[in-house]
Amino acid sequence: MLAFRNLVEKYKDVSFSLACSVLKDEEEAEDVLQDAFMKVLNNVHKFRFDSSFSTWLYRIVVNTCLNVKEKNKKHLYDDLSEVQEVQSDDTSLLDKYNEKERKIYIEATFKLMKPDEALLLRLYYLCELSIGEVREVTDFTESNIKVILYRARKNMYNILNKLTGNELNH
Amino acid sequence: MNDNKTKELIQKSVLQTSDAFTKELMEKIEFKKSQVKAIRKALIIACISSTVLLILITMVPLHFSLFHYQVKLPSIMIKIAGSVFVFTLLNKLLSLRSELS
Repeated sequence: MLAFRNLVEKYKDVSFSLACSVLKDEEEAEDVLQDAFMKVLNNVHKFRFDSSFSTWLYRIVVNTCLNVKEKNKKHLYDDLSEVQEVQSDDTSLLDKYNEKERKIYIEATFKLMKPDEALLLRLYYLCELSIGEVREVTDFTESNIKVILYRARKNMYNILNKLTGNELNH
Repeated sequence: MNDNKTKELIQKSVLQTSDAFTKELMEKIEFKKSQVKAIRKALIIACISSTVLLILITMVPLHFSLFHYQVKLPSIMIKIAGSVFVFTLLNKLLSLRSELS
């Protein structure tokens, strides 16, 4: 059990970020993540070493979240991600904020993004999975992943622009 | 769009679970383990008692008197009723076990 505890400690935060991308609710994401880790424990004998362990684990996390979301039929945030396009894609727009403030802005941005886009961004940049591994986790086609990632990056900066702009106007 | 900057922003904003997350998870796992053990025990007891019940059913006297009336029970009826009861019980226990595991 000590090994499993270490495994939980290692992957819990990244997996939690993935769960939040899909569910958009931190409390629910924690509950679902606990179920996902229990699935991992019960099915670890089924892991075939075809992919890396982390890819297999993220797949279980994502599938568990998607199942819960399907049951709840919560698409509350889907409409909120339709933010008017802003021309700037200036990556330095958060430079004036300290780390804590930056984190808050990014968290808010991810909450406002479409679940698919937020999930793919986190799988690609946070979990550092390749496009092929993202395909294994999500079952999207590779071309679809590239398109969504491109759109996601754009939307992320649009929302960030909007959030930081609103903040400055106050 | 700067890919490295995006990566840096996202990696720095990793969300964190609550402090009690791991502890709660381990407690949940222990609780589930004990539940599965209890169900397994109950299943064994149910199997044994079902077998005993089936044997008893086949030995029930089919002719007996009740308030001066002679009652005759068809043996097949008792066997069917007993079997339905036993299999329903087993089915319930098995589905409970698979739900827990």
